[in-house]
Amino acid sequence: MFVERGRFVLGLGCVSAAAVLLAVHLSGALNSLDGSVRFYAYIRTPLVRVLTTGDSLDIPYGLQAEALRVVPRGAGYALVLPPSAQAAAREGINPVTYVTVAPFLAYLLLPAYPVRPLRARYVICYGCDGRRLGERVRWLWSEGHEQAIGEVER
Amino acid sequence: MGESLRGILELNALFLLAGLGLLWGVRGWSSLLDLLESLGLALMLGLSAVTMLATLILVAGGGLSALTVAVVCVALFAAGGALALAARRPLPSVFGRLPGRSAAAIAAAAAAIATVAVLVALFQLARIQPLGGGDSWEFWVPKAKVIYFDRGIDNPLFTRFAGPRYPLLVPALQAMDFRFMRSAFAPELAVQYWLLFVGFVFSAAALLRRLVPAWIAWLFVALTAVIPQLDYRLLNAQADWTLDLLYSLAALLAVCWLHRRERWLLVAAGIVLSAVIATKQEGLLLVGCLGAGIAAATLRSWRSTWPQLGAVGALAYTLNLPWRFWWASRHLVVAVPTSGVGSLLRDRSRIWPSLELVLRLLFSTSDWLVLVPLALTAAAACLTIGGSARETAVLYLVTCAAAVCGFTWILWTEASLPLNDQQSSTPIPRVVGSIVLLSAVLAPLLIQPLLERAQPRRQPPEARDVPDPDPDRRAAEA
Repeated sequence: MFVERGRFVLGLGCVSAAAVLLAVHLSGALNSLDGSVRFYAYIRTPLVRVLTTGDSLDIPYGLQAEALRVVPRGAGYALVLPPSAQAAAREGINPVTYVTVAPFLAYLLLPAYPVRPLRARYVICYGCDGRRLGERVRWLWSEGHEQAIGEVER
Repeated sequence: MGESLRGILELNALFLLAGLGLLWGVRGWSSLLDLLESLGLALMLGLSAVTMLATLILVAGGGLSALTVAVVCVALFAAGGALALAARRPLPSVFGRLPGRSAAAIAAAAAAIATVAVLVALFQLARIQPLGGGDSWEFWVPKAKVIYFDRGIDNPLFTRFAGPRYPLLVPALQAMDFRFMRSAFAPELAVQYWLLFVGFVFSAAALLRRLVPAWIAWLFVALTAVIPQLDYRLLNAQADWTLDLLYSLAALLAVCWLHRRERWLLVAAGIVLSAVIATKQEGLLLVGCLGAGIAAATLRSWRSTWPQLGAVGALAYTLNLPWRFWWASRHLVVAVPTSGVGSLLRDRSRIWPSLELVLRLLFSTSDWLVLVPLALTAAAACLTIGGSARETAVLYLVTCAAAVCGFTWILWTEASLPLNDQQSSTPIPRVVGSIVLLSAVLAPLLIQPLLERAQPRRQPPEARDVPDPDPDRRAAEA
């Protein structure tokens, strides 16, 4: 009988704890979700919604938007970055952005696909000196020296 | 309603149709209310079965056109309908009985309303949130885009993304969404994950209600909706929560089968288990842990349990073999850690920190509330009771212990994984969610027997109200 009552008290304790947890965390969860909805309220268009992910990785919004506009579907492109994270840091690219920009653009630009620079039809230059890529690149968009998108003339 | 949202809803309506067909074939309904209650389970079953078949189509070199998906769904519905007609299982014609007005019913309704409130808030977020989670844009969504644009997985690009050997279910599901959305607009995938959670919530509530009073079932279902990590990561287009939701549902179906021995529960568990294995590599490990738990819990009745569960598990695994053959034939990296005995011994200093990290993550109250401690406490107490309560407790405890060992083994053998709790550098902070969700859905089954014993022995009113879906068969069995 004593054991049975002990079990009952334990069960009641578990249920009470669950009920208190729910009561405490329900408003917190609703507030948190509502806060997120209000935070993202500035997103008004599908394009902004797509590019905000890259923005959160510090990939320049303009570079993403122009890459989407300029590089056609099915085209091979090459992303040219500084040779190392240290060199990238000198161009103002943080280490997380340096390692994430290539996979993120691969996701963003599909069905355009990344290829080696020699086989590329388009070049996306981020933190690189576009002038060093040669005369064959016709620059279609640029912002300063460190962000540019060009087409390789064959 | 935007075209993207409409497309996702159309696809999930097809999943629902397929799931309803399957449920009709293996179970049937005693009333319209019963049918209504099983809609969540129908969605989850349809999604699991159709997406599993979609992975097989991809491995066979096919594509996932809208027509293919629709044909698969209609075929599953037709197969289920044919089974139902053969078993003379008509569609329900009576409405059924609503639960009476009582304190327990009001408590259940309050918890259900709380759950729906969180679901509504999650839906609002799913409509505007950008794509989140590193793995989503690094490989899950790109793979889905390749399937969508190239109509298959034979493009060499498919295996160039990170995790080339990862199972196909998530990219296949996302590619089907893109097909019905008529674009590869990835952020809208959040709605698909929301629907997955909706299906899980109503499935779990409906299954639990067969065994425990509705108020305790809904209390714990509502708790799953306020798990901080779930609200934080559910809408990311990754595989983690898909795995967790499917795994805990499969475990719940298996436990329900142990309690009720109704064959349809076993069939449903098999379908969902095959989807679990096809979702992530950890799925196979988790299914193994569940198998160990069931085996330990049913040691005394192994003759009537192990062969059936073994057959279901083997079938679920066999359905995933074509994918293993596919990536093995392309010489991709093997799917399990390859460390030899030498390197394991060399890395033995990682064992304790790995175990400590797994336990710390599992018991993190800020991430998972106290669902695991609650379920563990109730399970320990249930060990002092006999019968099905003890069986469930042993199953839960052994599954948890095996999973903790398994996660520790992953961290120990994968020396490249850092021993920290950052979600971006190791999968363990995310994968422990499967055990947390398992704790949430099994907790009512572990707590209810503790409450029952001090009262006069009688069935709870809500459980008594549950109509028997197949009274003839049960009578024959009796």
